[in-house]
Amino acid sequence: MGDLTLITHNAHRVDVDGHAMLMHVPTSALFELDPVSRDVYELFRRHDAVGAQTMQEALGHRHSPSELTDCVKSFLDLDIVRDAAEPEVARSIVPVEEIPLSTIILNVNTGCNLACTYCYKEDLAIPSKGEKMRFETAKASIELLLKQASGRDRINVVFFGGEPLSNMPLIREVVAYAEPRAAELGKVVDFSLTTNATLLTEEMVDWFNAHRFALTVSMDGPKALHDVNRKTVGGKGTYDVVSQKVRMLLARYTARPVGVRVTLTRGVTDVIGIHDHLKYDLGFAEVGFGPATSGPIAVFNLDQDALKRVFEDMKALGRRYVEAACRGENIGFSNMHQLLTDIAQGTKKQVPCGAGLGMLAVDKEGDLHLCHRFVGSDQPTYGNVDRGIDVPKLARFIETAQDRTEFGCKTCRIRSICAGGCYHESYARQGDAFAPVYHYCDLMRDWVDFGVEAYVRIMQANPAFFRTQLEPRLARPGAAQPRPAQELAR
Amino acid sequence: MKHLTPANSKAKAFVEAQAEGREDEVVAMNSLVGCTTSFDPGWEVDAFGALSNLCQPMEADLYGCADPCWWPAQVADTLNTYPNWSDDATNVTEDWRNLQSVFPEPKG
Amino acid sequence: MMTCNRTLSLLLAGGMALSAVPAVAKDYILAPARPNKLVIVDTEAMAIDKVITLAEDAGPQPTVPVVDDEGRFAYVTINRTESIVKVDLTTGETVARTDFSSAGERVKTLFGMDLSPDGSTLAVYQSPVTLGTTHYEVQPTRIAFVDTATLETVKTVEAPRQITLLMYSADGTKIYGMGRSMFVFDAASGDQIDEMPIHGWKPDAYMQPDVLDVWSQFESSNIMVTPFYTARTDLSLDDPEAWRTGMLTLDLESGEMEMQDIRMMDVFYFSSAASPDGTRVYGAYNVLESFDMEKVEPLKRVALPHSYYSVNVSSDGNTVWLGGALSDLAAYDAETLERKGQVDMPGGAAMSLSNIRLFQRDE
Repeated sequence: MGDLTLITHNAHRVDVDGHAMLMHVPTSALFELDPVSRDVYELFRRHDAVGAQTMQEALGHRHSPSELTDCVKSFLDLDIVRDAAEPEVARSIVPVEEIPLSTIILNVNTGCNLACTYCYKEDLAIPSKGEKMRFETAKASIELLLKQASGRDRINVVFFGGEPLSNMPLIREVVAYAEPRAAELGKVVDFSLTTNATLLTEEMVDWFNAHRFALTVSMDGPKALHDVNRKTVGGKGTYDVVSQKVRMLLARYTARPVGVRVTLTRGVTDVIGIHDHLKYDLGFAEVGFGPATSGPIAVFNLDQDALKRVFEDMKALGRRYVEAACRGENIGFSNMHQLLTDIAQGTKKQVPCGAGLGMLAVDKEGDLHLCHRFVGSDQPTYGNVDRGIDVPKLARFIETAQDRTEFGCKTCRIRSICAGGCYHESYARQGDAFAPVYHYCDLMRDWVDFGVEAYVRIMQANPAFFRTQLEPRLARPGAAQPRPAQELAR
Repeated sequence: MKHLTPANSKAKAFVEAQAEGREDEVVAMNSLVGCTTSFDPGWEVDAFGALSNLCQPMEADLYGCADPCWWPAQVADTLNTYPNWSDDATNVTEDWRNLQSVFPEPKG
Repeated sequence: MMTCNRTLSLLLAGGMALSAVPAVAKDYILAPARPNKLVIVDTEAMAIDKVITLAEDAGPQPTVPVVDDEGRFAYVTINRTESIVKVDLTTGETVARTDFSSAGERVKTLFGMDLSPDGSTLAVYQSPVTLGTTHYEVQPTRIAFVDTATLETVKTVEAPRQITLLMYSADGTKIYGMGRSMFVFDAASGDQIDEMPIHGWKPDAYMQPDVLDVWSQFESSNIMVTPFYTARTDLSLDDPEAWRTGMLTLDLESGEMEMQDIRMMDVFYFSSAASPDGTRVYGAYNVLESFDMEKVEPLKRVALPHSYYSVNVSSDGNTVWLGGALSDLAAYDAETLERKGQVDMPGGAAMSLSNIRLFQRDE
C-alpha cells in the first residue's frame, strides 16, 4: 500500500466537552474517537499524504503498531482515508422506478381570508376569487394515493390552500370517503391541516378531534410581531382573533399535540420572545421557526446579517432546550426536535425531501406537483390524478436532484443531512430548483454542528430523552415528517 | 472499529454490518426482530461447561423456546411476532424441516 | 374397539350408580397439544379418552389448563396466553371465553393461573403492555380475579413483577405468587399480606438461588415444589461440591414454605412434583430423579429417552407421569422408576411448555 490521504469531505470532527466526535459524512454515522484515533486523524489532517514511516515517526512512541494498524484499517473501511493514488468514486445515482407515495396534499382552495405580506403562493386569491377543488378530484387523488401506497400500512392526506378551512365541506367529504376506503385495504389514514385559525369554530375543533387531525397553526408570536405581516385582506392585524381562537382550540383539542409555525421576517426575529409567548402564554405543544429568505417581495426577506442573528437566537433557544432535556424536560422547539432526530438516527438523504417521491400535491384541476409550494407556479406538473403519475418525467427530476456535483454539494460535510435544501426556495430565489440554498449553507453547517453538540450533551446527561420525547413524536404523522406544516412562509 | 465508538443509531448499524462485510447496505431504518438476536445460551450453560445438559433431542425444545419468547434462543417467537411459525410442524420430531427462517416485516 | 369398551364402561358406570355403589374417583390427565387441542387421557386404561378441539386462534398452543373439582370444566389460557376459555370436558364445547387484550393494550397471562377451591374465581397473573407506534410501554403487572360463571374480570390488583405461578391456599383464603420472593396475597382483597424470601434465602451461606418454574402441577399433593440452583459461599467455585440443587416446597394446606439444599448440582430438573403424602419429590428433564423429603436426600435417578418438562404424581402415589416438550406422556413406577408405558398425542402433536394437569372424575 502506498501513501494514504485523508478524504476531508467524508469526515468531520466536532469536540464536545472533551469528547472528540467524528461525523462520518457518507452515512451520518457518529463515532467517538479514542486517543489512538484522535492522533491518527490529526496526523492525516496535518499531512496531505501519510506513509508507514511518517506514522511511525509521529506516533510510534505513543501507540503500538497494532493499534495504529487497527485504526487505519477502520478509517479505510469508512473511506475516511484512501490510497493517495486512487481516484474519487463517483456518487451513484439511485434509479427511480416507482413512486411509493405515503402522502398526498390537496389544495382545497386557492382563496385565503388573510393577505400575509410574505406569502409565497403564486396562485393565492382573495376569498371571493378562490378556486375550490371538487370532490371528484379529491376522490381520484385518494385512489391514486392508495394505489401508489400499496406497500404501506399508513397513509397521510394533507389539506392545504389558501386557507383550507374555507373549504370545509370538501374536507368533510374527503374524510368520510377516505376513512372506510383505507380501512377496506387494511390501511390507516391520517389527516393533517395547517390553518391561520381565524375561521375555527368549536364544532370544527370537535370534528377534527373525532378524526384525530394533526393540526398546525400559522402564527408569528405576540401581537406586536404577529400583526406586522399577518393581516386581513383589508390590512388589519389578526392577532386578537387568532389568539382567541387558539385558546379555544388548545382547550378543546385532545387528539394530538398542536404545533405552531412561525415565519421570521425582517423585524420579526425575536426567536426566544416568540417561543416563550406561543409555548407558555398560549400553550402550544411545540413551536417551529422558518426564516423567510426567498419570498416574492424582497423587502420582507431576512438579509444575510439578520439571518445570521436569527440562527444565533435559534442556538440560544437550542441551549435552553438542551438544558431542559438534560433535566428530562421538553420545551417544545420543533427545529431542535428535527435536528436531534436526524443526528440520533443518522439520517442520510439522497434527495432533500420527499417531494415527488413519497409525496405529491394536487391542484384543483387534478394536476400533480412536486409539493404544495409549486401548486400555482409555472413549474412543470407530473401527471394527473385521473391519468396517473408521469413516472418517467418525475424519475428524471428525482434522479437529477441526487447529483448536485456541479453546485459544490459533493464535498459539503452536511450533504447527507441537507442534500441541497428546499427545491422551492432554490426555485424562488435562484430560478432553479436544483441550485442549493447558498445563502443558508454556512449557517446550516454551523447548525448541524450545534446539533451534534446538543446530541452528545443530552446523551451524556439523559439518554432516555430520545426515547421518551423524540421517538414518540415520530409516530405522530404530521409532526416530524416533511410536510407543509414545517414550511416557511404561510 | 476498536478505536471508534459508535455514538448514534447509524454508527451502530454500520459497525454491525461491517462485521458481516455488508456495510454497503447500511440503511437508516432500525428494525425490531423480537427476541431472537442473541447468541447467549443463557443459564443452560452450567458451571462445568457441559452442553450435554441441553434439551435432547434439539427438536424437543424448539417450542419451549418459541412459545414463551425465551430470550436466549435462536428461534422465532410464536408469542407475539410469528404466531404461525409452527403451523406446518405440529409434530416437531417429524416435521421440523418445515420450520423456516423468519424476517422482520417492512413497515412504512 | 376402544369406543365399544368406552360405551360399555359408561353403561356399567351408570348401572352402578343406580345401584348406589359408592362412586370411584379415577385419575385423568388433561394435556394441551399443538396447535389447539386438549387431550384427555384415561390413566388406568393408558389410552386417550377424548380429544377436544378449541377455537382456531387457540394456538400455537393452549398453555395453562386448570380443572374444577368435579372434573367437569377446564379453564384454559389460549391465543398466545391472551385469552381464557371455559371448556366442558364432557361435551368438548367451549362455553365461555374472555379476551384480555384490546387494540391499544396487549395483555399476556403466560403461566400464573389458579382456581379458587370453591370453584368460583380464577386468579390470573397479567402482564400488560400498551402498544405505541414506535414504542411499547410496559404497564404494572397485576392479578385479575375472574368470575368462573361468566369469565368476567371482577377486579384487578397490582402485583409484583416476574411472578410465574399463582396458587390458592387449600382453604381459599390466600393466594401465593412465586417470583423473586414468595408473595402472599389476601384472596378476598388481593392485598399483599406477606413476603417470604426466595432470592434472599440464606444469603450468608448460599449465592442467590436461581428458580425457573412455570408448571402448575401441585394438584395431587397440595404441595408446590420446585428445584432451585445455587452455590455455597464457603467453598471455592472450582469445587464441584460448591454447586447445589435445592428443593423449594410450599405446603398449600399449612402455608409453610421451606428451601432445602438436597444435593450437589450436576444435572438440571426443569420441574418437580411431590407425592400425595409429601414424602417423595420427583424432578424431571433429561433424567427422572426421586428424592426422599424426610431425609432430604436423593434416592434414585434414571436417564430419559428425551427431555420432558413436566411431571405429575398419580393420586395413589404409584405412578409418575412425565409430559411436555415432545408428544408423549410417559408413565414411570414411582418406587423403581421403571418405565411402565406411554400415551402418544394424536398426530405426534408437541406439548411444548404446556402445563399437564391431573384431575379426577367419579366413574
